[in-house]
Amino acid sequence: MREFLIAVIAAVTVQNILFTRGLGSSRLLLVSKRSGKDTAIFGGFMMLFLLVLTSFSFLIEDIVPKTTLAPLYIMRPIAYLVTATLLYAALCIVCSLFFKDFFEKKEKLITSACFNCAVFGTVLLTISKYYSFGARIGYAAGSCVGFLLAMFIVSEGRRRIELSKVPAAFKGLPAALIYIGLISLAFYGLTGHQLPA
Amino acid sequence: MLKKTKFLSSAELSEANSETASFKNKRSTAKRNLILRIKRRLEVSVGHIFFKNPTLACGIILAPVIAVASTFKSGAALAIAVIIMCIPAIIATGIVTHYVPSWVCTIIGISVSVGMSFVAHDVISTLSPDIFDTLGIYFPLIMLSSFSTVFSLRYRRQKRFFVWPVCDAICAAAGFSAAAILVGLSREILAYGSVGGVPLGISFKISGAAAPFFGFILVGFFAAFIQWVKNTVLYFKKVYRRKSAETREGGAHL
Repeated sequence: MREFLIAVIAAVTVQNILFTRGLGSSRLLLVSKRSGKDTAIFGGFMMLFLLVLTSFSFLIEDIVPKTTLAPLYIMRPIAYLVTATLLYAALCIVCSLFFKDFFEKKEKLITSACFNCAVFGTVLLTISKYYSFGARIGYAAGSCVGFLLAMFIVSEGRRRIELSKVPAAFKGLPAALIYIGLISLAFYGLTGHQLPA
Repeated sequence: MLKKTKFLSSAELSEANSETASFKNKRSTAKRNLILRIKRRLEVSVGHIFFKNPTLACGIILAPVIAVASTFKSGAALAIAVIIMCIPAIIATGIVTHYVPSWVCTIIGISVSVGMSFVAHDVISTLSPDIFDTLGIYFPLIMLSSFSTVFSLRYRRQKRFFVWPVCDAICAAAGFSAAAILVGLSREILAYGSVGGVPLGISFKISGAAAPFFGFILVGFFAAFIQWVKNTVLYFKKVYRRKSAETREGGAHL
């Protein structure tokens, strides 16, 4: 339980996947423009997919080292990607059979939630740090919460930037990227990094 | 037996001439329209390199560029990886997009990227074996890039498509490569004062240039530059069109 809580808090704050590693920045910029309902659907599917994929990680870690097609740092991500693809296919089949109307309207959003650098990067990070099962689940849940928190901060910031006087060249994507960069700089200092003199 | 030659009356002759002339006109107009359509479509494709650059204008595949492209070598490695992994994926999804649901298209795109990742790994290893230590988890993340999904969804709405996905894929990959190399080069010069590991003798260095936050800010400024150039070009096009319209109106009055 302690490991789980520490992993959650670390993933939300000092190891926020967006502000410290830039993971999921493309998806964040796309989804932050959408309504609150779409953001909630995106967050829900992302959390579900991330938790299921992370729980499969111990099984995959048993199988992958036995293959010799390529080095482990290539085969491991491919194994996770294949697993993620199979899970995504299963999810799409279930949604198209039982929730057809919802799936037709939100298919693009569900695809964005399942396949993005934030989800996959989180899984790879938990493996590279040799976390226990509880810590992996906690890190995955915390990363999703941290990503949604980052999305809230960025969408609010973008809304305020749009309402203020910004030079035409900086409107839209450039201002959003610089804004994320400045918050990332704040996190860089928060985690204790110091620029060498 | 001699065939009777039918002599056309002047009215029939003029009608036949006008029909031939209109047919010739229609053929030349159709040819001209086709050339114009191809020219406009090529402009759209080539636009992916600069004005619709996937990273600097559309915000696609930002994570590897921001986090990892801190040297010229890593930027070049990312460029090679995207060219090898993403172009075949876009071509594959462009071919099947009208025959399968879009979620199957996504799976096919990712499967092709996974297959090409072995080739990309071999190519990058021959150029620089140590680069994978720098790329870390960001190399496999390129397989998940939204390149193929974005392009396959675009082509679902179009009827005939095979050639244009190839053009768009190549131009978009070229645009990303240019962005990754430019960002990597700039950050290496600022952070280490070198290019490809070769020192330039620059004493001024910004040590934080290799950090992710600087990647966000630098990509933001490059994106602003592209937007400024686009706005300037659009402004001058508008001025030119207005002046041409005024000249035509002035000529008509005379």
